[in-house]
Amino acid sequence: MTKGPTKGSFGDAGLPVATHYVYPSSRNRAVWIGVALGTLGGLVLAVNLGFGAGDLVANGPLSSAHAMLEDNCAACHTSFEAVSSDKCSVCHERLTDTLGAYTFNAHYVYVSRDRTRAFGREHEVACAACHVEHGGRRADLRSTVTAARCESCHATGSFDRGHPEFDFVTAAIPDDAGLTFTHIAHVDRVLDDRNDVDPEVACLVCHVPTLDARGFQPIAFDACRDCHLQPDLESAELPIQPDGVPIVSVENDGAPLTLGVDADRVELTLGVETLATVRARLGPGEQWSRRMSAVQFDVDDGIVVKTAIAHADPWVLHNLRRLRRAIYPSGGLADLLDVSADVASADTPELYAEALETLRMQADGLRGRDEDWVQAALLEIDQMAGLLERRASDPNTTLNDARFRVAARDPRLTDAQLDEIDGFAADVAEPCLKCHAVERATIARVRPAQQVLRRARFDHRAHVIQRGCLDCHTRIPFGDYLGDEGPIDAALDNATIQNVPAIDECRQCHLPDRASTECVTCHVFHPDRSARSRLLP
Amino acid sequence: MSRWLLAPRMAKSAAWWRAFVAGAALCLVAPVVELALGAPGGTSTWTMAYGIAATVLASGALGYTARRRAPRRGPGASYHWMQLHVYGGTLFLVLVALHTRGRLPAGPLAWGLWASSVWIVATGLAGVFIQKWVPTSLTSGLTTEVHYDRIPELVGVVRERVELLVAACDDSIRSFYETTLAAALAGPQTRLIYFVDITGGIKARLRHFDYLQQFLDEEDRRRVQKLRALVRTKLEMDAQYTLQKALRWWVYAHAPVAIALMVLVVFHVFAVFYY
Repeated sequence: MTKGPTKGSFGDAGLPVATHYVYPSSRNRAVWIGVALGTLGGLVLAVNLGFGAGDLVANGPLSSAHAMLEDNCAACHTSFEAVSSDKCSVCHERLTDTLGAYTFNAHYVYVSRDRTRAFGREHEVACAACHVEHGGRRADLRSTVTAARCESCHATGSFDRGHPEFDFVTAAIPDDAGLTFTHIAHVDRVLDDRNDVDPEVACLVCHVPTLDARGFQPIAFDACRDCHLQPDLESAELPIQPDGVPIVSVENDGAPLTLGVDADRVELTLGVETLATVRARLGPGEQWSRRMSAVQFDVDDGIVVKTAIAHADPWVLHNLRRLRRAIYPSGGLADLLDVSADVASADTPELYAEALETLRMQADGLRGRDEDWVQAALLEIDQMAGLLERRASDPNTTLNDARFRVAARDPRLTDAQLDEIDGFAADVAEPCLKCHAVERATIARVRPAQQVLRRARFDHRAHVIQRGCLDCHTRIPFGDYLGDEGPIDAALDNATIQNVPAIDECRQCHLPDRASTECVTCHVFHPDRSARSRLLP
Repeated sequence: MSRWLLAPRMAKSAAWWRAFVAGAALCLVAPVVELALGAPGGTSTWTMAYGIAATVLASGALGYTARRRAPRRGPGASYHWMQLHVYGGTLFLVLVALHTRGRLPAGPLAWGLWASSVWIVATGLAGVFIQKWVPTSLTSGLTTEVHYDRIPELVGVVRERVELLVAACDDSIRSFYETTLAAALAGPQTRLIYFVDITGGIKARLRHFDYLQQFLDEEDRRRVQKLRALVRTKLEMDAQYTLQKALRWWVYAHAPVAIALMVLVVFHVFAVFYY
C-alpha cells in the first residue's frame, strides 16, 4: 500500500516535487505564427494588387457586361475616390449631357415629368450608387437595384406596402370610347364557330401576342372583317352635291355678314361628291378614285348609293372630310388624318406618322403632272412633310397633339346648321356606325393598342403561365352571361370598360415572400434613349 | 428571464454581461432605425459604421493579447481586458454580420475576412468553454494533480519505479509488464476518452491487476498493489496531459488567425478607401 505524501513528494505515488520553478512554455509562438500568416497574406494581396489583376482584393467578379474590364481596375476606379460616373460615360452615354438618358435630370424630366430639373445639379446620385458591381458574372446591374434605393427619394414605399393605386383606376380612365363593341357577344360567337366552351381560347383569336409574348399586337380589322364586311354592305341613299355649289354658301347681296344676325343668309347644300367628280378633279390625296370601280355606284336622279363598302372606304372618308372642312375651314393638320386626333399624349408620334403618310400619298399622286396648281400644291406638301418629319425624328422635341385637333368652327354656322351637317355625316357614315362613333363629321379614333401603364411595364409572358386571362381581367362578367340569348346590359359590357385589374389584384402574388416587390420589376429609371420625347407630357 | 438577462450564473462580471446585452440589443435595434430613417445613401453609411465599430471592438479584443505581452503592466486591470476580449470579440461577429448585411461575401479577400472572423469567434468561445470546463473536470475525478510541463519528467520517474519493482517480481509479473504495461509507461499519452469520462478509462485498464492478483502469493500481491498505484498515477497523468494539452493548444487555433485577420482588416480598410 502506498503511503501518503512525504516532504519533497506529492500524490499517492509520492512523486518528487520540482527542484526549480517551472516556467510554462511560451505562447508567443502563436503570436509569431499569426504575424507570419498575416504578413504572408498581406504580401500576397499587395503583389496581387500591384502586379496582378487585383482579383484577390476585388469584392467578387464583375458582371458579364463588364467582364473585359476584370484586369483593369483603373477603368472604373480612381485612387482614393469613389467610382465616378464619368468613367461609366466612357462607354455609356455621357452623363454630363444636359438631357442624356442616364442623368438624374433625365429621370426627373422624362420619367417624373418635372421640367424644372432639366439642368444638372450638384451631388447627383452616381451610377455606382444604384448599379453595384462585383456581384458575379450572372449579376444583372439593372434588375438588382433594390427598392430601398428608390425609396430613399420616393416616399411611397415598396409595392406591397405603400404603392399608390394605378393612375387609370384612380382617374377612372376609360378604355376605347371610339368603338362600339361588346366582348361577351363576340366571345360567344367565336366559341360557337369553334365549338369550344373555354372563353380564354376566344381571347387569343383577336388578342395576338407579340413575338416576345410580353404584350399583344394592336388588334387589326382583319379580325372583324369576316363578319362585319359583307359584299352586300352599301351606303344610304345620299344626295349628290350639285356641281360648283359649296356646302356652305352665303347669299351675296353686297352687305357685310353679321354673325348671329344674318344667319338666314348662310345656306347649306348637303350632298356627296360622286366618283366622276373626284376623278375629274383628281386633287391631292384623291388617287383612290382612279382605282375605285364606277360600278360600285348606283346613281339615279341626283341620288347615289355606294355598294361594296370597304373598311376605311376612301369615298366615305373623302365625303366626311368635305363635311368636316365645311365645319372647320382651317382644319390644319387635322385634315391629314382620316379619324379624330384623340390619342394619349405619349402616342402623339402616331399622329405625325399618319399625317406624313397622307402627305406622301398626296405627293405621290401629284408627281408627274405639270399643271401649275399641282406644282404649287406639291411644293406646299413637300414643305409640310419636311417640317413634320424633322419634328417627328428629333428625340428632344416634344410632339404636340394639339396641332392635329380641329379648333375653330366656321363662325357663320348656327347650332342648328351644325346639327344638320352632323345628321348628314351620320348618313354618309351609316355603314360604319355599327362599330364606330362619328362626331362633327369625324370618325372617332379607335385605339387598338392602348398602353394602360404609362410609367411601368407589364410582362404578360411572365404571368400567363401561372394565371389565366380571366383570373385578372375580371371587369367584364363573361362567366355570368356567356351563352345568354338576350341582349346584355350595355353598362356591363362595352368598349369603355377598362378591363384591367387594380393594384390589389397584383398584390395577391407580389408580396415580400412571394413574387418580386422591387420597383425595377415594373418601373424603369432611365428613359428610352430612342424615344425620350414620347415620354414627355 | 430578467435575472438571466441581468446577471446569469455563467457570467463572471454582471457589469460586463449587462454591457454585452446592451451592445447586442443596440445591434438588433440599429437595422430597424436604419430602415426607419432610410436616408439617401444611408445604406453605405450604415454599413461603414458597422464595419468601423467591428474594427474598434476587434482592436480592443486584441489589446488583451498585447497587454499580456507588454514589458510593463498596462493600463487597467487584466480582468477587465479579459472581459473586453470575450464580450467585445463576440459582439464583433454580430457587427460583422451587420456589416455584410447577413449575406455571404464575394471575392477572396472578403471571404478571408468573413471566414477568419467566424473562426476566431468560434474558437474564442470554445476557448472560454475549455478554460471553464477542463479545470473542473480534472479536479472532479483524479487524485493526481500535476503541472503540464512536468508530466514527461514525472512519467519517467514512474516508469523507473515500476521497472525497479518489476525486476524483483517473478516471470509472470515481468511478462505482464512487458506485454501490457511497458508501452503505456513509455511516455505521456493523449487519449480522447478523457474528454468524455475523466475516470472511466483508468478504471477499465486497472482491471488487469485485479485479475492478476488471484494467481499471486502474498508477496507478489503487495508488489502488484504498488505497481497498480504507480500505473494509476501514470494514467491520471495521461488524463492531465490530454486535457491540459487542449488548454495549451486551442490558442494556436485562435490567436494566429486573429492576428492575421487584423492584417487583412488593415488591407480591407485600405482597399475601401483606395477604391
